[in-house]
Amino acid sequence: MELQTKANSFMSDEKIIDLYWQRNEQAIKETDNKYRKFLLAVAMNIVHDMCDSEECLNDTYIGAWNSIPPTRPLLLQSFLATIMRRTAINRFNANNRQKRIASEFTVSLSELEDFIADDDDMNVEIETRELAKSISNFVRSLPDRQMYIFVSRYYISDSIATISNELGCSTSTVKREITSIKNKLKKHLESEGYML
Amino acid sequence: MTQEKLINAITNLDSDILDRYFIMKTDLVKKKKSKKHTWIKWASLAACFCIMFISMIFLIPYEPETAPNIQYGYTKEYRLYYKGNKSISKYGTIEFIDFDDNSITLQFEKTTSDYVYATLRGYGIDPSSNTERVYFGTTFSKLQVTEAGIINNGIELFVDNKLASDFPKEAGRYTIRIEYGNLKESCKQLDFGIFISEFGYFVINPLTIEGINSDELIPNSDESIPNTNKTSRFY
Repeated sequence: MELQTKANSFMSDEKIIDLYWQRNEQAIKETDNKYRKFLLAVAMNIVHDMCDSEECLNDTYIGAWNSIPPTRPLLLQSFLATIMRRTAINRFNANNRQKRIASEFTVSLSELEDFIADDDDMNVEIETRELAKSISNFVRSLPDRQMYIFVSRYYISDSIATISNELGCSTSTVKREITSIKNKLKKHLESEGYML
Repeated sequence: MTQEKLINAITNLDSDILDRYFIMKTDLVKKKKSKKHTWIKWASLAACFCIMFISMIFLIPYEPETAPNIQYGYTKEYRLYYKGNKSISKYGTIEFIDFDDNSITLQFEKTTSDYVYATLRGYGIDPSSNTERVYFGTTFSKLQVTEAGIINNGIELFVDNKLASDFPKEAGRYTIRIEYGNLKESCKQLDFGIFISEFGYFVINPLTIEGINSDELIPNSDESIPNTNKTSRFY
């Protein structure tokens, strides 16, 4: 995955966000110009399918259009990456579910889920948020380099080769760092009472 | 803890972490770019040095190895005058231009009308007596040293590229070339230098001064020009 390098030829994030706030559709065009390559890379890392990635991209643009305003993101790239990751993971889960139980049973189960899963969903949502908070605190405590590796690997889902290339080090160094981060995370989560 | 839960939790990472990540990513890209530029800069510099070095090899004129061996001055021990580039005397100035295996070329700035001659000594076997003798090639026609050795026409004098029997008498600027190929042929070995009266020796055989410490050579100047009586071993 590469960042857009022709930064000067693209509109600044502030101006794009202003266009969103003005409800100007040019905002989506400028977002596409600047971040299409990056967002497709994020989607591809998760869904591994170009058609799905394109659909995720469209969903991300719609998500951004619907969220700005009221949101005014500090970093548009980070904001878009979050939407894209959620969209792509949903797509990935949906694809997997269909592959696992590709029958009428799938439909019937999903119909049941609609009314029996409410309480569980609430609990899961709260637990997930707490876990996210804990992981966020952990990542925040990491040195810059390890934070970068963690987010690249587990949030953007970059390959080890891409990370090593970006950091200018060998793949074995990145692997070693990942092992170290995983061990630290395990200790951290255990200390917070999570069962792994 | 399920894998899905963990994935969802990571998806919900706080936005400040992602902001920090993307800022770092932008910095890394910038650094990488500037690193590339640094590499190009150093490569260009190295290429320039290579070009300069190669140019120097071709542009700096080649000087034969023999030239630096010609020392300028005279040794106290032998009172012999080793001439390199220039010799100044009361009769003018002789400047070394070039020499090769068989000739030496000099620029002669003659300031008086005094008589000047050149002599070169060699060592060889006299065929009539089958004994080792000293051979003299000289421009000095009146020289009578039959006891000392054999005088032959081993050297030829060219003044301004014209064959001459003697050095020019009048003051003026002349190009002198002395050829000693004939003497070389008749001798086993030539002396280290050609002697020019009042100007000393002009080294033609640099091998003969090998082993002489150049520090021992007294530089030639108006004051340091040795007395020609002392410098001559022949006359």
